[in-house]
Amino acid sequence: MEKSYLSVNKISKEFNGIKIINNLSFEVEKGDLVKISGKNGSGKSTLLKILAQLYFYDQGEIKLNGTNLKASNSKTIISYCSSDFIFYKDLNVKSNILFYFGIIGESNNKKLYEDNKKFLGINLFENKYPNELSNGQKKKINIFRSLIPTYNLYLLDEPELGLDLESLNELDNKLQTLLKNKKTIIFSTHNNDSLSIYSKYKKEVLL
Amino acid sequence: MKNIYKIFFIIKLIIFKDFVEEIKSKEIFISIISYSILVLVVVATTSNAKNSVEFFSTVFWISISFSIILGINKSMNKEFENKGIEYLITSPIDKEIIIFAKIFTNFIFINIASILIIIFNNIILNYDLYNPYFILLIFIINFGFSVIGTITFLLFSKVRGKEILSPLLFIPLVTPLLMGGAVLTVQIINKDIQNFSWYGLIIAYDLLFLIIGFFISNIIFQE
Repeated sequence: MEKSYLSVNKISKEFNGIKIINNLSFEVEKGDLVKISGKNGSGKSTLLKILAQLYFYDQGEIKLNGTNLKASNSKTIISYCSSDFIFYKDLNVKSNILFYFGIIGESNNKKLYEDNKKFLGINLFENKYPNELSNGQKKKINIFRSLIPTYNLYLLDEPELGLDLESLNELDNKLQTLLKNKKTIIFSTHNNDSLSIYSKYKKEVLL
Repeated sequence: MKNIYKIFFIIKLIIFKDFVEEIKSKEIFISIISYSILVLVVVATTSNAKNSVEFFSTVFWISISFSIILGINKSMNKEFENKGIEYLITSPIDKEIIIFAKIFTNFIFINIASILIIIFNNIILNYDLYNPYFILLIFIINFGFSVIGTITFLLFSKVRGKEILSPLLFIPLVTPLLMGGAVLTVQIINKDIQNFSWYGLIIAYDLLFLIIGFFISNIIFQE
């Protein structure tokens, strides 16, 4: 039997004695679009953070390509887009992104930035500092850096929040392109109609 | 070999990032230098520190240690503000490298600040500290400060009130460094160094905490 690309087997996670995720299992194949659904506080963001290895899980097992998530070189494969704003406040937008590209091992980080900087109109505010930006622009930094095509598995935590219509279309097109290139996308959202790609999910994980 | 090059590249990148941030904000240098100089000015104007080498030596190291923990806390807080640390945790870097990079950044910052404090101290208290033994002493003690300061901050990074708890643990842990620093400073000023073994003890203490930092790096970054 062929192994799944990502296999989550009976994982549990609790915070302060409250079980947020309880015995959750699901499998994802390469190139799948997977939706994570649930009410506020049901553990969608927690699950994505566990997959991104920001949180450790208490029980169970997660395998990526048949290898334990912690042991595999998953961080070179997985990209995580948080629903929060993530940046260094004393670096401008361009420096924030270049720093991230540098630490993920992109040897030619400047070229990668130059080739993609028109995505979401990042080039229009690349010299501004985060405290000069609107919430939507801060969110764009996060989306921009996490959606570079070098990864294979994308974890997106409500990426559409706070974006204008034009940016939503760009994001939609970007995700369509990634899917065409056999990349795997796992997303969470409360707003199913915000991106057309959201309706094309192959699997739903209900929390 | 390629891995070693990569490790150095990552450390260099984090240090460079911290310098770019500091050039814009200047928060770390201001907090270290202003506090330390303020203490030295108060001591110079209200006591007979000029006449007592022992008193000066103790006050010097206490002021340095308190101001440095302020600086290290500022430096480490910048990683956690706006969750910048998630850049590092989700990237394919070993956690030990993140800790080492932060230790080296803090080491460089506090050394630069220490040099300015020594120059200022020379002007207002007139103690000649431009001595290779004293410079070596500053380096090895500052290395200990940066290792212990970085680790104590990270240990409390997820705790409310970390700005208070971190110095509370830092000060007792650096006491052996302060003792060695105070004893050797007196002997250096008197040009009569009798306890060279303190240098070895301080270096051993630094290395001990560096190894501890290496071993607990996974625990430190656990949610």
